[in-house]
Amino acid sequence: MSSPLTSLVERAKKGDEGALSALLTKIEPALRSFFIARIGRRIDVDDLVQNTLLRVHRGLPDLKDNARLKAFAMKGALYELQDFYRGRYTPKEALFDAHEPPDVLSNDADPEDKMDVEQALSSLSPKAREIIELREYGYKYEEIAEMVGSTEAAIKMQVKRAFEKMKDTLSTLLVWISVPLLFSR
Amino acid sequence: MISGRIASAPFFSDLNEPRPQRDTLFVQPPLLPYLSLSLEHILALDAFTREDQEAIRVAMESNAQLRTAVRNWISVSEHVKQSIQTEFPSSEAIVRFALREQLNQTDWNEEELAGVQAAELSVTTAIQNFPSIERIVSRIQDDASVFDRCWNDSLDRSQDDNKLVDRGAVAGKRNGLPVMRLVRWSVSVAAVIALTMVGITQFGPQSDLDLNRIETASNELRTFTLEDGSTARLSPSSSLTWSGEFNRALNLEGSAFFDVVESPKTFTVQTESGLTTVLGTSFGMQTLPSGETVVTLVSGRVGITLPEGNLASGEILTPGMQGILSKSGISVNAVNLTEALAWSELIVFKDTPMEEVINVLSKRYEVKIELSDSLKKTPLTGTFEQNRGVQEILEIVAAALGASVEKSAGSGVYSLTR
Repeated sequence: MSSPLTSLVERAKKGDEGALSALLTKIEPALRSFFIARIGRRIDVDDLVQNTLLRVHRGLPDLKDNARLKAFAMKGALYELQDFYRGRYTPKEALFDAHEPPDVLSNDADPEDKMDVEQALSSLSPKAREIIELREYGYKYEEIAEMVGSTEAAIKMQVKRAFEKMKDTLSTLLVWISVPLLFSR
Repeated sequence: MISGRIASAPFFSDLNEPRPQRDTLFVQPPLLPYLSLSLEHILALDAFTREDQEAIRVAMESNAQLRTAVRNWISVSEHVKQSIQTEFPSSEAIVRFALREQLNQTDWNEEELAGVQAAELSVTTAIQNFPSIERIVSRIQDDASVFDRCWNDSLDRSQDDNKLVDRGAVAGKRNGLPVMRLVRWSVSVAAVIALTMVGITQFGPQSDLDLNRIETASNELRTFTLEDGSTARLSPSSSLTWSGEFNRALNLEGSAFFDVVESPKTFTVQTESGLTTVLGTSFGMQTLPSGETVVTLVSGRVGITLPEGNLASGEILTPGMQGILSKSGISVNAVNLTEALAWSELIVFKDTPMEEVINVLSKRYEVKIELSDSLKKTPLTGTFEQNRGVQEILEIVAAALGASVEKSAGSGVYSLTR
């Protein structure tokens, strides 16, 4: 006996537009609930839900076992969530107007610069580096705290200490860079 | 002085939305006074409102130290981000890696299936250089659990995470011992079953909103505790469904071992080829690709009928009997329970003399077990998961018999005495 949801999948795969619509309508609340649980009530949730529904719609012909729609939808939702995290932060744009960054940020990094930044990073403890990577990957401090089994305050303190530790290395690195001051523009 | 216009680029559009409570903890009022603003304040933020951005811009205009600090931060941030973009596996590869144990082969399309193997290599290699990826993998597995819960809550309405707890935990509470299921003596044989025929019609088409479902993946063997306290140990790729409120009327696809709590309300399991009706008992059910249903009874009594049949056309099984329902009818035979239920990965004894119990355990675990003469004829009834070690099983048996078990440090021989 197949479940009603499986029946909808079967009919949708055979080209029944009504079944497809009913199927997507039926799973939409579950997807919305999932994304809200993970990233909170943000307008990004609408995009994530729509994109996941699109993945389900497009991928339906590839669904080999009609009874496995949940696994199929989960896969799509997790792909979307990861893409969301990875695009969440671009610090320069987050801090400033992406179209009008201040001059202080307009200096292209020298290859040597990158090498030294890597050297500065290598001075960090593995845990501090891990936290910075997770942060740059796109996780919030609260999420990172959950991931590493710590508190949000402790994570922020680690980041602060990490930058203090790197400060000397980076100051040496950047001293030669001629940086036009913002107020002199 | 730079005025610093903040354009309404799409990137910032969501910043005007009310933030969830957890975010408001870190954006309070603004980062004023600007002159005392430090990188620490900036780093503490998960996102920046327009006011934050303006505050940072103004502060940087007059604070050279802050300018340097921000610039350094951005250098590091962009460097790390660049590493992530170029050296981390793709999002899809990481997700595939994270779900490789959880999903069936049939859940991947051909391209993904090939990608799963590639993902395994790329992710394990990348983890060597970036241990944070391991955290991400773990997080994705948590995401999958959250998804499962949201899906069940929304679609199945079974709320099974709350109700379907691990059998071991429940049984442990029931027996006061940290075991799956302690040996049960004289299992309710007295509970002679009033075989109430349950109409087939109740298993007919149902509203999808009323359908509850629990299932196992192709590589999963899991025990669910049902709302009445009965347990169903589902073999891989099996499912149980029931309509509306739990009323001890289930549909089975695949195979399951049931341990049914006694109740005046009949417990029925419907398959394509038959109906099994009980009140309180333990039994295994397999639906075979041939369409046959095999019912193996461990304790209590079970009535089995064909879909179109009634009680008069059915059979009553007693412990140690196996009934096979097929299109051609019902056949009943006596079986060795441990062998007949091997598919359930359970070791089952029903009034089995301890001498034979020890013989079974010795062969299965390839160990030598000595048994005192006073215990040899003692009958034992019990069900054990195969993946439990022999020592644990012997300790359970010893506890039930008031005996003690010891293992010789030298020879490794177990000794059960009373």
